[in-house]
Amino acid sequence: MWPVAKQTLKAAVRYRFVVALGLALLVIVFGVPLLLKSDGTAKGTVQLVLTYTLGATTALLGIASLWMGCGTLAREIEDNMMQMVAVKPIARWRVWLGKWLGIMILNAALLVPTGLAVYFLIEARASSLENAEEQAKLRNEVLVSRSSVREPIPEWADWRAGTKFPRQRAYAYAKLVAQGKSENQYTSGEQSLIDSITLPEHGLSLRPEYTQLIEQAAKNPAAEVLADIEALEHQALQFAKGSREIVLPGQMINWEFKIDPDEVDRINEKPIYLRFKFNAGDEYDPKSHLCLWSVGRGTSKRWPLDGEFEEMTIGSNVFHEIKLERVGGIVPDKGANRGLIRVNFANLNDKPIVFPMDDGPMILYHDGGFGTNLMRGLLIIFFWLGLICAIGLMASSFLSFPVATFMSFGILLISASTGTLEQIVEEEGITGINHETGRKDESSSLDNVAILFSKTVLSVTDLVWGYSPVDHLSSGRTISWTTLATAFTGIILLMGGLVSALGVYMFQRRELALPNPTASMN
Amino acid sequence: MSSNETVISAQGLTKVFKDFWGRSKALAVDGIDFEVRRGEVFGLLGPNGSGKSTTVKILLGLLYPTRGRITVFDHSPRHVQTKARIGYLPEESYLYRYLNSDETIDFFGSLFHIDSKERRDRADQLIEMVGLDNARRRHVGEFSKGMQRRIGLAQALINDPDLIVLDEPTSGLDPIGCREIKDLILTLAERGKTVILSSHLLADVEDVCDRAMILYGGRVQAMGTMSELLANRDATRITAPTLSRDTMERVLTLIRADTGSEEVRVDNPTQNLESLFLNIVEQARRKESETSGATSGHRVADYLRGDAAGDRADRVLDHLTRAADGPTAGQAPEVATAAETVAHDKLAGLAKAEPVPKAKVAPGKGENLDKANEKLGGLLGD
Repeated sequence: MWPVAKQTLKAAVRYRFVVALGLALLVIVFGVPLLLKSDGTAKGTVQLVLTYTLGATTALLGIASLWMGCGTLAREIEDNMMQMVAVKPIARWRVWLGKWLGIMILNAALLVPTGLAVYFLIEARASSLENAEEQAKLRNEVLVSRSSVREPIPEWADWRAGTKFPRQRAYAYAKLVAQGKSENQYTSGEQSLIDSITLPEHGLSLRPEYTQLIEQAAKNPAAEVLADIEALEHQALQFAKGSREIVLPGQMINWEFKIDPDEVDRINEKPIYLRFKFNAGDEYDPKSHLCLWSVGRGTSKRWPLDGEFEEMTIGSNVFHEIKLERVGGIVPDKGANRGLIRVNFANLNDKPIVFPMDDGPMILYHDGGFGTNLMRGLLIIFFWLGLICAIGLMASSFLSFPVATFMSFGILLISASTGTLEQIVEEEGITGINHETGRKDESSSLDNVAILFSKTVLSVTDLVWGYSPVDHLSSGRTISWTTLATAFTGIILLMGGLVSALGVYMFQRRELALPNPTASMN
Repeated sequence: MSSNETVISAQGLTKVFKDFWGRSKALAVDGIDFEVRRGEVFGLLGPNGSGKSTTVKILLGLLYPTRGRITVFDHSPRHVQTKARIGYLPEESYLYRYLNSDETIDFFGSLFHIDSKERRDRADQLIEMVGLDNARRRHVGEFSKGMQRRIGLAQALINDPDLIVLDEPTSGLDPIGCREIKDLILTLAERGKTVILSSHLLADVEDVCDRAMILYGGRVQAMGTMSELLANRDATRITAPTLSRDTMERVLTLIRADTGSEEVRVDNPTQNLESLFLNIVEQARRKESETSGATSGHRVADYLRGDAAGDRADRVLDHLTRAADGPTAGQAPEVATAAETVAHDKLAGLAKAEPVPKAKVAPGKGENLDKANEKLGGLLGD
């Protein structure tokens, strides 16, 4: 397979494709930063440079990989050059993989210098900063690898009323609560039930009609009764979600972040940050709001140092980071609270403040250098390029060059545009929701099919696109080795393997000397 | 030098081209049966669209038969290891235009897992053999059609194949190049290589093939040895050195009396245009040695010549006269007709009356034996 890879590389070089790509990358790396307008801070500038240069590099190499993947095979088949290779003692799967390998070597040859250039340019920029404070900020918040810890997402986050909802358990719990026993009267079975109960189920136990409806449905499972049960479950879920996300005016919310106790001492040596994003029903017209934060209440590691709330007026719908600065670190290091960071937020505005669960607050702590993190980020980009190249090769295994290109771009566009599919899952179907109740009036089998399809596609696309290396790098967040291994498994082994198997199969079946490219396989 | 070992066997081979929807579009090959034995030079003849190329591409595994069966060295044409024994020169240049001669040979050689030193060695010999020594650093895309054929031929021989499939090998070549190709084919056949020659140039096939199959409309119209296919059973040709008028009259009288026919003609044999051209060029070359582009008259690569190089100069002549000597091995001998028996008797009588040098019955070939021997010796470097 190596001779084919080498020949593929040679083609890219001789046709000046590499030169064109190299020039384009030079423009991206050295030219794009000159065009960007940041907020004036070194941190903001570097974040923009990272975002745009790495984003543009990914886009450019992605398009190039797709183009080469489609062209190298389809063109050689159409121009009959592949006949000369196919009559030699080399299995077709080796030819196919050789082509892939050649393009990937080229990608590596372009991506590595680009990454190095970005790294050294940014390092040079950081080193040349005269303002020590700005430099420290840049090194602590961007040119760094920071791990994050969040509150675990509750298991009920993806429950839907009627589906995946533990109705029997919720009913049993509601009945138990209705008995009005005191704490020491519970049997061990009842106690374990209470221990396992979640927030939505607890909410339902406060609705006596829930148990009545379930008992009624047991006797006569009429559609209206079932719809009423689902409506209550939906309300309970919404309430639970709201209680996790919404802070009403005059109220306070509390988050707890658990850090590995063994890591506490190391983590306390470096600055720790609270990262969050909120909205106040003003997604389309963001404004500034008063935020009051307090960390470490009930422990000796309080922030701010006076033990009160830190007041700040900041904008909604963007990420913020607060440096939790304290001598000796902010993470509690003694007793039962070792590694447990409590964060409180108080809302003194006249509007509710929402912290979306997906972008929920997180604690960031120093975990390593920027260089290693950049390398891991580039590797994820490299995996993407590998899959994109495989898609191009797969399409060209049985289609002509223009059709293969069209199809490959189509696959990429659809897989990257999952908004509609997410909406279908969110709205539980394609027939729309009743905006008064916030739910669907009636589910059809079409809805079920659409939901199943959407979920399947989303799980596949999430396997591939569920990483954001550029975003992580520009915000100094760690791309862990585990993430890298997961990405490799999902993108290269699973999806890449599937696409490659399909491509090789089609290429194996293809008659390379058909007189007409539109003629079918035998 | 053919043996009974079957190299290619096809039974009921059929190929139907279909459109995207699976509807039959063209019946390219229609149930053909044939066998090719080791050491044979087997010709595929037929007009355009007769199914020659389709048959070739099926036996190379580039097309898959719709019906029937074909084996190459007892394996499917798609069997990867079997391909290590095959060399293929397609009808057009399907080479990578951005590679130069060296790189082209090296690339295809690497697909045969030939180590790099051996590849370089063979590439040197092959490039010299096909006369591209002066153009080895030029990209194939810059080559003329003839030069592309030459480099195409070189790549087809990099693995010293047991079976060589040549699709219109002389297309685009000058007469010298054509002759070199034909000589090479015969060299390879002498070494026990099997050659499939697909061509619509009848002279090519006639000059080098042991057997030929004529296709038309995807079906076999005729198949057999060249002598079987070409023999004219209703006439006899006698070739002799220049005869005196008296001798001529006596011969003619004897023949007329024997056959009872006045349709007896006497003329001076002519050499064919190819021989004439080669002679002229050879003379010109002796005067001016330099030319641009591809050159000719190079020795066959050592690894391709094997032990067959010794008496190379006589080979083409032997082959050209073979048609008169009888069928090749494996072919059923023909029963002589009554007219031929009479002719043989007459010749025997003539031989007694006036001894003459041994005659070769090969219309248009072998007339200038010394010239041809000299030429071939030059081509083969012997």
